[in-house]
Amino acid sequence: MTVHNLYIFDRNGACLHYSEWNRKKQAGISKEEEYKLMYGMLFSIRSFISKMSPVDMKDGFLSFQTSKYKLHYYETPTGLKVVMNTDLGVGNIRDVLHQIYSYIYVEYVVKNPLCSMNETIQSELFRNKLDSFVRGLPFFSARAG
Amino acid sequence: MTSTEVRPTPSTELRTRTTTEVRPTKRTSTAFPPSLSAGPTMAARSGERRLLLQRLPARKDGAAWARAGNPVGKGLPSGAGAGRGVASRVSSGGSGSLSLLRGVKGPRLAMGIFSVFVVNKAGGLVYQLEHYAPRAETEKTFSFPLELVLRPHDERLLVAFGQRDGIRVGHAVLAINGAEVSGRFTADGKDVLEYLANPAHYPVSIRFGRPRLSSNEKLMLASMFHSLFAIGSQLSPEPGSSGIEMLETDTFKLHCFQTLTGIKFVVLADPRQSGIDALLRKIYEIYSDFALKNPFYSLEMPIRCELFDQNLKLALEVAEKAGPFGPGL
Repeated sequence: MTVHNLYIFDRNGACLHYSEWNRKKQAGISKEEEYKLMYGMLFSIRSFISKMSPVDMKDGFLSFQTSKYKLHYYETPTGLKVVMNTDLGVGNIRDVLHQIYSYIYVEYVVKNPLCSMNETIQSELFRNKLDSFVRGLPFFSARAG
Repeated sequence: MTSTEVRPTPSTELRTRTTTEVRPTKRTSTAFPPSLSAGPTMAARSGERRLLLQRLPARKDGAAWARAGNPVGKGLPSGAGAGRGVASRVSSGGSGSLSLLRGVKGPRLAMGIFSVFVVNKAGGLVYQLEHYAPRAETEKTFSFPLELVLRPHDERLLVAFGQRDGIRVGHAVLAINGAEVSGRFTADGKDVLEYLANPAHYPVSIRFGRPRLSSNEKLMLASMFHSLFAIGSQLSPEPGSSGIEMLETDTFKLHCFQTLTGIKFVVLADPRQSGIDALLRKIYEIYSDFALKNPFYSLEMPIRCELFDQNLKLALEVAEKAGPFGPGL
């Protein structure tokens, strides 16, 4: 079990933060392009799902998986999106993504007067807290990296 | 395969599309009579039900509902006799308590598979089957100034504002005074908005529900999934990843199986339904046996083979029985 990478997007699609741990393959495009592609895919998946769903949805899109990885998605009511790619052995980690939002993003970005919203997060403190939080997760294992 | 190679294959994408447009509507109409409105007994019961429901927890409507004794199951007496099994199954029926009253119907309770799509390697939809659509419809009688704001969108009238009593923003107008509307027009060809603007037509009873997908939308969604599938594999952090195999939401799971030749079989099922992987392989088998081996079937074209239809439906029913919802649910 391992964590590959993590994206945080704001409501307008700008990538606020990106970090990676055990990533073995790059997408072959620049990081900026990759963020756009990722956001575009999530945006389309959301619209796809809202049309496909046979009944009304509450949380909407939760995750998808391919043969190699699993993408977990969490969106706050304000439109902030947290996306984490892990391997296939990881179950539902909606609460973990929520913790990243409430314990780390809110604490170290929203409450930090030096961080401006809707811009790439420069705060070193946030970066460190997030890194240690993810490394402390039960399904994070350096062995796979 | 040899039989298909002999004949010329007119693989014009345009033709694929126009022909598919006709077929699925025909299929759905045979499979499901369009009017699934609740019978008079249910309407009469709904009053007492609503009273009952008020005392029950707000969420988990389905389970609470069934525990209180639902009128939905095969003419079950409305005592407190509906077991746990029913409880788990009904909960997929709808989100609002009111919609549940009209929502589920008849003996088809344990329906875990919603629909099947077959997408060819170019992203065109070649087959679609609407197996079971849980109904969440709400009918309500309104007096003149209509408090809901309706807005035309994609040839339909959608609720834009005024969510209430199980009528949600985004729901479409399905019927007026019991007569189905077709898009923005009533059965006799009048504009629905104009009809509702006239005080003389009130009180009026309007039925709302999730808009059903038109054939064109299905085609569009199929090709949309085709590209999402490709992007999913491009953005992989691990080398050698496939595209999206399983996509999970809180109301359904989408399972996709791509064959070596690039055909995608997509099944939409209840999140608790198990055994979908085996079903996807089975559908591939049925496709090979009854579509590919049919001498009148041309590759990449819409599948209109009776045997394929029959066997697919059979496989879906078997899968639903063999892989029921997990234990303890």
